[in-house]
Amino acid sequence: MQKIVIDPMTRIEGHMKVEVTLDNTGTVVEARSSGLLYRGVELILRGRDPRDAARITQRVCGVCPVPHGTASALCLDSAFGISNKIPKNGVILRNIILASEYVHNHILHFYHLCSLDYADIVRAVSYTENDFEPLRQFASRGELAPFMPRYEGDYRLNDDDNKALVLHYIQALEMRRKAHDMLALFGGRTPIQAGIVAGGVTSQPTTDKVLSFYWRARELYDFIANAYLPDVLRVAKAYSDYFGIGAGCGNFITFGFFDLDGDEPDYAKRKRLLKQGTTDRSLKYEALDLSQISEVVRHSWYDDDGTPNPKKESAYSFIKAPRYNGITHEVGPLARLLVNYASGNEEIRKELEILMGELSIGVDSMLSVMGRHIARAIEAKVIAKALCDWVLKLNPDEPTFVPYELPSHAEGIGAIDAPRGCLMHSVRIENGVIANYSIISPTTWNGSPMDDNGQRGPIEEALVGTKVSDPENPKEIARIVRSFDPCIACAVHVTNLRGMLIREVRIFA
Amino acid sequence: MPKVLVIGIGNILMGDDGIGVHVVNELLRAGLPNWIEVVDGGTHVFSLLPLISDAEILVIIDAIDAGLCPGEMIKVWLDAPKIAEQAKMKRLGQLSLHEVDIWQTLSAAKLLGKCPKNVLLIGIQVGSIEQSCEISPNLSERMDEYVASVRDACLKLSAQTGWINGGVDDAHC
Repeated sequence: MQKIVIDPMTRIEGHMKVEVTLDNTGTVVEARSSGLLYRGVELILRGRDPRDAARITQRVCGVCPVPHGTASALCLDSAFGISNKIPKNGVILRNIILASEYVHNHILHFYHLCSLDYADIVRAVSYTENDFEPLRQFASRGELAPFMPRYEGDYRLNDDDNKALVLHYIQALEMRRKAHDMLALFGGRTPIQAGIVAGGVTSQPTTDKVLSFYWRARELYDFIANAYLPDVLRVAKAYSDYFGIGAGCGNFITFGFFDLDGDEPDYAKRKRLLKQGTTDRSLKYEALDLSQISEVVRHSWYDDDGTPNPKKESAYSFIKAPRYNGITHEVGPLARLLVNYASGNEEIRKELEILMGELSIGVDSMLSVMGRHIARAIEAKVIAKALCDWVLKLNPDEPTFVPYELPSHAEGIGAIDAPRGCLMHSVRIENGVIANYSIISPTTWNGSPMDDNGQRGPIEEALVGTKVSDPENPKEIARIVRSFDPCIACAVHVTNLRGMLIREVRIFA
Repeated sequence: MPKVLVIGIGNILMGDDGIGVHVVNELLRAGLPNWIEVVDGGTHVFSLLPLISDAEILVIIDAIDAGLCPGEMIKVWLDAPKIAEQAKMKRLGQLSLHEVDIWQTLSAAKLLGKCPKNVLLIGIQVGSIEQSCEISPNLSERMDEYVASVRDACLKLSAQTGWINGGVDDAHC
């Protein structure tokens, strides 16, 4: 056979690069987060039937099609004047489809992306218990390769905890299957669902679907409560220094999500399971005002009118810098947790206080790498519990969809939190077709570059001041960036002050 | 349980990158026997793990950049050492879920003990991967060839595993 070297191409989602500069003590003195790919989804949507947006925008991102589909449907609802007319069944089904994706995402993120930063899979191969037989066989065939190489020198879990993490890593693969089965039950298919549309949801709940969903949701809840949360605690106890690493900007914003009341047309005021709003280190809750959001471009490859300009000298990213009240804000699970803690959400308060008690930490410590993992796990539990409740509230005899007329001229906006944070879609319709469409996605907030006032983006801010113990093995940097769950392809560059490249780690083959 | 799973991978918003999905859509239009499941996999291949681990035979259609002429198609049987070799050297810089690729997904299926016995990669050399919903002419004019080729491969494979009576000798196309 002819020898051909092949590589399926790296999927194109918006390449990101994180570049940090160290001083001679190994401390990060500057950090730059750059998006290296221009994306202009409006170019594709312009001139199309507005309803296409809820399908096409799902393809913007391979990891979160469902949140984009949902934000787009809400955006179209508002443009069509039906945002407060979606039938109750439709509202619940949208929650259920998106929440299944949330739970899937959080389990995937912790176990399959992050846990092997902390658990030692190499040591696990030497365990003699029967449970580890598949792993031993796997390793004996030389198939551990995907887990190698890794940053060495900092695997601290004791054997009992290490065993739990590695076994749950494998079990979590099965759990994700259940979450996707759930998604497909009402979303029609996975990974790119077809259920959520403007006006509601296309599928009708039936008793057997409801039951089939319910039992899977219970299993997922049990896994989260009895494996995921305890595992995060195991890691948090062994790596307690990571409560002091990666604090970030200290300001938080969320659009909230999971509508509990479809009657309020304004998404910023609608009653949601996780409330919309902002907070900061003082933990004072402030209501959300969408008009305070702006995007600036001094360090982005755009002219002031938004035209892409890759030659702009002051720029280093295709990501714009969204700010709220002109200030850098972090988005994602930690933002949702702290905003809801501040606003007095009793369930969140209770869950967080139990964990903080067990770890002997205060809320301040939550502004950290470990805090983000804990926030994600608590949220997964709260949402999985809600899933079990919601599915039993579906009524097979009631509609899931409201008919509507397509307007010839209209504007709409959809604002929800995706698993990674604030997601906003907006549309302008002229002559019955899309005249303009824009998206501000979560990683635009967290991965944003410096703004016009010299304020860094949240990931940049979380990196600066970090002590890198071994520049050849910059595990602190990787752990900080991963704790944000960025929705991008990244390369980490570690550069010392003289600008000499110590190490370049690229992901692409 | 599907015996044969065909997955098209790619981003249909990025020109030829979406060729796998376009081929799958054509296959769905053309129709296939009901034991062959055809899936539009999008770009988050790690989320396809549950589907993959249910299949006996997996056919992946993906865009490749192997320095061939745009539109050229290659078929490669993937065995364990090849998968392990391709999947390595990835974890260090892997910061986002987007970097979990098809190789690592197959590795995870192996870890579960549920990797399909036969994995065939049908790779199509890209021309242009600019932002567009259209594929370039070099590829689109060969669409019938791609569809026929995938269809043939699926039928031969089914025959070889005794799932249908085909009597075809060479399933390795």
